[in-house]
Amino acid sequence: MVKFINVSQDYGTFRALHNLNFEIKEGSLLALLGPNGAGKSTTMSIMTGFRPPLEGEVFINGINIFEEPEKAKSFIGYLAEIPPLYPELTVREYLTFVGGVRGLSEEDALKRTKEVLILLHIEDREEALIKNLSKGLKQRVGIAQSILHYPKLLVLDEPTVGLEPAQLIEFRQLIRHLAIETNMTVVISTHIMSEASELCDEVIIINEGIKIFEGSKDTLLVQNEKGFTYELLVVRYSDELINHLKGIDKLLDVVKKEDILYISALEDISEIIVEETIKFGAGVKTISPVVTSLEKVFLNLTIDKNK
Amino acid sequence: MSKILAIYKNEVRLYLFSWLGWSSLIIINLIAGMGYLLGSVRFGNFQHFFSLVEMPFAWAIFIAGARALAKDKELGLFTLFFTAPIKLSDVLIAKFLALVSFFFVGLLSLLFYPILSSLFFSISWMSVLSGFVGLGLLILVFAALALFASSHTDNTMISIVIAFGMWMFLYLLGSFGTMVDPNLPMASFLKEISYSYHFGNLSSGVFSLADIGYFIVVPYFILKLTESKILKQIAH
Repeated sequence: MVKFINVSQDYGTFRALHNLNFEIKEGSLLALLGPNGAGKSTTMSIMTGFRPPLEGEVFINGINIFEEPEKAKSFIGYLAEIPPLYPELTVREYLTFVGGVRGLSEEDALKRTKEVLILLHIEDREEALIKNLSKGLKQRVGIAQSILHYPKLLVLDEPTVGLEPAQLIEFRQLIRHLAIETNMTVVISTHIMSEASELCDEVIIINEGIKIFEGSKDTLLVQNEKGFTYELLVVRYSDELINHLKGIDKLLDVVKKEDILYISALEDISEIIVEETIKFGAGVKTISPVVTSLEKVFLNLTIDKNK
Repeated sequence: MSKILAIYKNEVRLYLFSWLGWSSLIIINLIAGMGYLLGSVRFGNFQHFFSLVEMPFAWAIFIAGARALAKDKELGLFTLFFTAPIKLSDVLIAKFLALVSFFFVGLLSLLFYPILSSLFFSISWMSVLSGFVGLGLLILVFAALALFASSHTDNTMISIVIAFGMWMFLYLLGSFGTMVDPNLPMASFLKEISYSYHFGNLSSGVFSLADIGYFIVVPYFILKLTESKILKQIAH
């Protein structure tokens, strides 16, 4: 759906993007991650055809966005960090206007406005003035304008900035629901890892204008996990048990914290750990793998690169 | 075409909602009314009357038109226009035509004065017609200037100041042209680039292709400058 080929961008003497190459498959839910100033917004603005790159090519659904901008842009729905709204218009007036700008006939724009308002559960706000809406509702109107024309690609730039926790949860559910219902490719730029973790399956990480990771969220976690870590909750514990476990092949270390043993290993040896613990005479209450968070991996990757 | 129409309709609606737009039209009519009462129409000739309202029209257009691009920038509407399948030139044409249409309504409201005069004495309808054509064409130049000024900033007040500064420059250029020795080639150049000279010709009933051409070429040139200014801003 999206293809970046050797894309670079400069702001004066500052190079914001360095030879960026990536591909986003149709139907993916992708998070574009990076710390502030990493080049996420620049990538988004180039992806949506807002700003031309200094070098390189960008294809949307196989069409070069800077050679055939109108054709390529007809596939895109975009919601910027600040939703582009006219406060003095009603929700219906605004959305039918956007429909017109996107090339829908007046009749289609009105019909589609009603559909989208129902989809986003704001049909009761159709005649409300935008200036009177809450931030969360304005965000919904922003999403409504971005999906009005059935885009194949929905690009959301830091869409949850300024939303309250309840609105955040609602927003994430909404995006998931939209992606499933409409089979859209969704690209979200964010620096909030929990958001990326909850919403997206695919990840691209950019730091200082350089792509440092591209792939699935699971691959990212596995690649950056240094072996396996388990939490073992035991009864009838003794210090000898730790020494006994340390003797297991492929086991790296055992650390005790309160009633829990944290065991790290090179391979998945959970079964052997349980067997040996029971053989030693201790009782196993639970054993569970410690999952590495996306946040931890992200920090490791970006901090490592910054060093 | 439908996309231009959508933006055009929306812009007209925004002007209709704008107290600044309506205030501008009211002020134009107040000044026109005062000028009328103070005798700007002499022996049924409206030339002075139209010259009098030229300046209020310029200011009103700069004030009302300041929001056209500056406010859009402030509200982030550029992200909508630039990610939608529409050309920048189409956006500018729609906004330009909407501003012009709004002030054509203001222009039409001035019809009240010749109609009122015609009830009491004989008037020169030719001078009325030429005045309306001249002022109508002048609105094109002022609207293009307002958009150009508005493209420089996201603050409507700054946009008004920029437009006023540019208008002042053009106005003084025209006045300076009348002061230079008419035998000098510079005098003819200044005369030709001055809008007051061409407006003066039209409002006095002298129609020439050069005058009409001026009012078509100049707004086109200013709109092109506006387009290139915006493209430059986006690229950086």
